[in-house]
Amino acid sequence: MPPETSDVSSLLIRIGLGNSALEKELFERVNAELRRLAKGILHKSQSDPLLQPTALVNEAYLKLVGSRSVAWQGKAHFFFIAARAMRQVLVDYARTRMSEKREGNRIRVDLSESLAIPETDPELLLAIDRALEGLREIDERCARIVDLRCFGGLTVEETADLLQVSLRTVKRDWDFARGWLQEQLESSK
Amino acid sequence: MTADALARWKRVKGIYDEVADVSSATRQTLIDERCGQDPEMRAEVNRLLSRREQEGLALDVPYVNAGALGYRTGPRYHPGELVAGRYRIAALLGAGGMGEVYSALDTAQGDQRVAVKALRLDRGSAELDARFRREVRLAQQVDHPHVCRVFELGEHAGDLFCVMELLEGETLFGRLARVGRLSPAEALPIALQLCQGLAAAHRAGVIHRDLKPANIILLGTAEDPRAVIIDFGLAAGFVHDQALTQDGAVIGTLAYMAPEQMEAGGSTAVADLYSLGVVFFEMLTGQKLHNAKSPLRLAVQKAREGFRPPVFAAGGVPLVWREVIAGCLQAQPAKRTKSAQGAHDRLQLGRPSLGFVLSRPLVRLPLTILLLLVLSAYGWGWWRSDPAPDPEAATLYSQAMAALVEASPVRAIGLLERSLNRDPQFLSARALIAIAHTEVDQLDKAQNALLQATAASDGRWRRGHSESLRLDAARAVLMHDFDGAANRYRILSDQVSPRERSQIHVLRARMLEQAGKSDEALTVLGQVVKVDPGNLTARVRYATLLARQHHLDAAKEHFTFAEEAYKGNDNREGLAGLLLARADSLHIDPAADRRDLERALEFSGGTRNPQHRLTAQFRLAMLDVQDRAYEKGINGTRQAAARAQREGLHGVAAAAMGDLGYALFSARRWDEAVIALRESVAMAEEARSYAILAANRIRLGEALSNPQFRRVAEAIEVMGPAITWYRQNHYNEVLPVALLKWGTVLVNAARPDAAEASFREALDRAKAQDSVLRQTMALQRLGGFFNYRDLRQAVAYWDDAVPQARRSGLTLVFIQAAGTHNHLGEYGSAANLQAEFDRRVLKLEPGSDRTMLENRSRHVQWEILYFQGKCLVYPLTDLIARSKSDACRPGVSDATVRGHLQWLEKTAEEATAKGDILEATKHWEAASHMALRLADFPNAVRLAERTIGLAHSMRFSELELEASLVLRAAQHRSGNREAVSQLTRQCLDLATRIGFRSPADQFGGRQDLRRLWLKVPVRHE
Repeated sequence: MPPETSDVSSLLIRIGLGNSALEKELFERVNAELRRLAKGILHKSQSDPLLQPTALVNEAYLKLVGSRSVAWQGKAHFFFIAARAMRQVLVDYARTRMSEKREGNRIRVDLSESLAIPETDPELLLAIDRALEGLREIDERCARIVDLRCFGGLTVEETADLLQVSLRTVKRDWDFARGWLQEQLESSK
Repeated sequence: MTADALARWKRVKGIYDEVADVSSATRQTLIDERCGQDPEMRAEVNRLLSRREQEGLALDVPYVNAGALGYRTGPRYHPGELVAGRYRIAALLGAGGMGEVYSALDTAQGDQRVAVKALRLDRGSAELDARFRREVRLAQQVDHPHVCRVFELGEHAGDLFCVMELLEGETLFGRLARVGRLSPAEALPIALQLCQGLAAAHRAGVIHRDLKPANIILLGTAEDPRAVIIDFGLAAGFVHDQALTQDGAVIGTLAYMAPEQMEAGGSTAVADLYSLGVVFFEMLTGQKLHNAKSPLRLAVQKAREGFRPPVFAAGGVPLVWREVIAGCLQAQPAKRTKSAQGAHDRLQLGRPSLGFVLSRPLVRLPLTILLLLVLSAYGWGWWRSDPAPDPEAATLYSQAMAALVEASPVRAIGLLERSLNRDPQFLSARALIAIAHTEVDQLDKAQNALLQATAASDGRWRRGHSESLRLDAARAVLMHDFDGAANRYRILSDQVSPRERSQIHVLRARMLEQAGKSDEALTVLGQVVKVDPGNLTARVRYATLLARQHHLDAAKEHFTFAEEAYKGNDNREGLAGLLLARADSLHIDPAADRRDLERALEFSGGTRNPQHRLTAQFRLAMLDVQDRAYEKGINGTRQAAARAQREGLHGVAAAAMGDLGYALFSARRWDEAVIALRESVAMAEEARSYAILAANRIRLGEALSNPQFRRVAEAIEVMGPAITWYRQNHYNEVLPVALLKWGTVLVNAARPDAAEASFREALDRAKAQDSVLRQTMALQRLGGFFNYRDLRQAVAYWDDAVPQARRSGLTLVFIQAAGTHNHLGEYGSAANLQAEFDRRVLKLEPGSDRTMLENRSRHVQWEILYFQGKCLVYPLTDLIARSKSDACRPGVSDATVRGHLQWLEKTAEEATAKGDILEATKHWEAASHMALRLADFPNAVRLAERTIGLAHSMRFSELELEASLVLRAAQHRSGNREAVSQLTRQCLDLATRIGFRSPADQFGGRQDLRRLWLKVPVRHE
C-alpha cells in the first residue's frame, strides 16, 4: 500500500472531499482491523464494557484514526464503513459456522455455561444480510440506519447525530426497516 | 428484486413516510388518497404500520454480541489443579478483562493462600513479552500496604499467570454499585491511601496504565478502611501487535483514560493521575464523568468535544475535593497535578484539621476547639471585627512588601514584626511574615505565623475576602505551591486600592518567579512599570529578570533609571538593593560587579539593612574565589558568616557557607570544598534551616562522590535525607537536579534500579516544569546509564537528548550520543554527531574546558574509525584502558602486566572500601584480563567470576559480557570444555541483550563476538 493512502485519517479526509473510490480501501483497512481486534479479544470476558463487540468499532477507530483532527464528516464516514465491516465480519463468521455444522464438526463447549453467551442463529444472520441489500436498493438511508444500529451498536440518538437527521426520521426509518425486513424473512421461509 | 417490485417498494416507503407520523384519524384518509385504486399497496402500508406495535422481530435481537463473534470464556484452571507444579487452585474468584483470578495455596510456602491470575494475553511478539515481564518485574519491587504485592510471574501450559497477594474484599466498583457514592469523610482515607500507593509505585518507576474502580480493592471496615490498588503494570501486556506498540497503542479502559493515552502517546505517571481524578469523581458524586451510554458514544463524545473540566452537578463535594479532582483532570499533562503525593497532600491539607474546623461558624465549634480559640485569642483580641490596620503598621507593612520583593526577606521580617507590634490584629502582615519566613527557610516560624493568623481570622465574625486570599496565598507558599499563591494575588489585585495594587502585582510576579515562570513574571512586572513608573522596586526586579533573560541593554536602562531616582531622593537602602541586584544579574564584567558590590556594602553600613550588607560581603568573597584568591574568599565568607550568626541569621550564614563550598568545588579545590560543605551542613542543622540543610547535603554528597574522593557510601548517607526532605516538602523546583545527582551516586553504589527510577523521576519532573535544560540533563544521565547495559535503550535516550541539547546548549550530549551510536555500529550517525559537536566546540572561548572537549572529540572520532576497521590502534582514555591494551600486545613484558594487575587489584579494593562498587567492578574486570595474559588461569577465573557476580547484580551487562569473555577464554585454556560451551552461549545472549547487533548480522563489527558466534553449532539456526 503506498504510504500516502495508508494513513486512515487522510483517507477519511479524501473520502470526505468526494473521492468515494477510496471507500473500498478504507473498508478493507477497517475490516482487517476489526478482525485483528476480534481475534485479540477472543478470550476476554464479557464483563468489561470495553470488550463488548460494539466497542470493537470504537477501538478500531481509536487505533486507526486516534482522536487526531478529522472533520466530523470524516468520522461519520468511518462509522458507516465500520458498521458495514462489522456486518461482514459477522456474516463471514456465520458462514464458517454453517459449514462447520454441515460437516458435523464438534463445537467446543465451555465448561462454565454461566459465562457462555447465547449464540445468534447463523442462518438468520445470513438471511438478514441478504434482505438488507434489498432494502438498500429501496432506501439507502434505511439500510444505513440498520447497519449503524445493529452492527455499529449505535443508539437512535447517535444515529441521528451521525446522519444529521432528526430523531423522528431515524425512528420512522428504523420502524420501516424493522417491519420490512421481518416481512422478507417471513415470506422467504 | 425486479425493477417493478423495486419501484413499488419505493412508493410504499414514500407513502409510509408521509403517513407514519400523522394522527390515526387522518391517516386512513391519507392512505386511501395516496394508494388510490391499489388495495394491495394499501394493505402493505397498513401491515408495515402495524408492525410497529409488534415485539420480538428479527432486528430486535442484538446481532453484535460476543456469542455471534464466537467469543467464549471459561475458566482456564480447575479446582485442585496444580499450576506450575506449585500453586494448588482452590476456587475461581472472578473474571475480568485480563483473565480470571483464583484463590490458591502456595505449596512451596506451607500452603500460604495467594491469588493466581490467569492472564489472557495476546502474546504476539517477544518484544512485547519482554516488555510485559519488565513491567511486572518492576511492579514486584513495590512493597506498599496500598499496592497489591506481586510475587511471581510464571508460565503454565503456554500461558502466563501472575501470583499475587490474596485480597478478599470488595472492589470500589462493587462498592459504588452497591451504595451509590461515598461521603467525603468515607472517601478521604481511601483517597489518601490510593495516593500513597500510587506515589510509591511511581517512585519505583511503575505506571499502572489502567487505574479504575474495578482495580481497587477495599478491605477493613468503613471506619478503618484499607484500599489496595491491584494489577499494576499488567495493562502493559495488552497490546495486540508490535506495530501498534511502536505507534503507541491505546491501553486502558476508555472512561478512565487520559487524553494523551487516547492520542496513543503512551502512558506516564501523569496519565495515572488523570485516571485517579476520574476515580475520585465517581467516588464522590456516584456519577460517571462522561455520561455516555455506550463506549462508542463515549469515544464520539471524547473525540468530538475534547476534554472538559468536570461538572459537579450534585452538591456536597467539598471545595478541596473539587480542586484536587480538577487538578487531576487537566487535559494537558503539563497542567495536571504532577504527582500522587501532591494530590495526597492537598487532600490532607483540606482534611478537618484545626484550620478547617475553625473556618466554620463559631457557634458550632466543639468545646476543645473553642478553648483553643479563647487561649489564642487572649493574645490578640479576636473580638475586633474591623480589619482596618493602624496607620503606622500599614506603612511598615508596605515597606516590608518592597523588601520582600527585592529579595530581602530578613529585612521584611524585621519590618513586619514592628508592624505587628503596633497592631497584632493586622492579618495581612501576619500572612506576609509567613511568606518572608518561608523565604529564609524558617519553616516552623512560618507555620506558626500562619496558624496564628488563621485562628485569629476565623475567630472574627466578619472577615474580609481579601484577607482570606492573603492567608490562602501564604498557605500556598508554605506548601511550595507558588502557582497557587500567584493566582491568589491575581484575584486579590482586583480587590485592593490602586496604591496597593501594583505592590500586589509585584508580589505576584515574585511568586511566578519562584514557580519557575519567569516569562509571566516579566510580563506582570513590565505592566506595573508601565502603569506605575515610580514603583522602583518593581523596576529593579524587572531589570533583574530582563538581565537574566539576556536583554542586557533594556536591563541596563531600567537599572540606570532606578539608580538615578534613588540617588535623587537619597534612598541609600534602595540603592544598595539595586547594586546587589545588578551585580547578581548583569555579569558584564567582574570589575563592574565588584564595584557595585563594594558600593552596596558601603550604602548598607550600620544597621540599616543587615541582609544587604551580608549579601554584599558574601558575594564579594565569592568573587575572590572566582579570581582564585581562595584564602581571601574563604576568610571573607567565614567572617561574614560569623557576623550573620551573631545577628541571629544562622540560616543565611549556613547558605553562604554552602555557596562557598560549591564555588571551591567548581574551582577544583576539592579538600577545601569538602571542609566548607561539611561545615555548612552542620551550620544549617544547628539553625534548623531545613531547605538550606538539604541543599548543602546534596552539594556535600556530590563532592564526596567525586572521582577525587569516591566516598560513595558516605555520600549516600549524606544525600538520602535531603532527597526525602525535598520530596516531603514539595521542593519541586530543585528536585530534578537533586535527583540527577542522587541517581549518579546510586549508580556508583550499585543500586541501579533506584538510580534509574531517580533519573526517570527527574525527567518526568523536568518535563512537567517544561525545562529544556533539565530534560536534557536527565536524558543525558539516562543515556549514560544505559550505555552500560542496553545500547538500544541508551541510543533511544540519546536520540531524545540531542534535539533538546540543540535548544539548551548542553554540548557534551552530542559526543556522548556519537559514542553510543558508534558502539551500535551506526557509524554514519556517530560521525554526524561528532561533526556537530566539533562545530559547537569551535564556537567556544579557547581555554581548558574547550581543550578538554576537543580531546574528547578526537577520541570519539578515532574510535569511530577503529570500529569500522579504518585504523588499527584503539584510543586510550584512562589507566584501565591502557592496562587492557598492554595485556593484548605481544611485546609488553610480563613484569609490566603484573604491575598493572597489582595496581588494578589495589584500586578495586580501595573503591570497594569506599562503597564505589561500579568503579571496583571495572578494575576487577581489567585485572582478570591481566591474569589471563599471565596465563594464571585460576586467578583469571576468580577475578572474572567476581566481576560477573558484581556486574550481574548491578545489571551492567557490558561489564558482565567482557568478564564472561575472559572467563570463557580461561576455561578454554584450562581445558574445561563443558564450561566453555555454556559460557559461549551466555556471552552471545549477553551481547544480544546489550544490543551489539544480532546473531543474524554476526554482531556487526565486533570480531570477537562474531568469531564466538561462528563457534556455536549450526543447530542454533
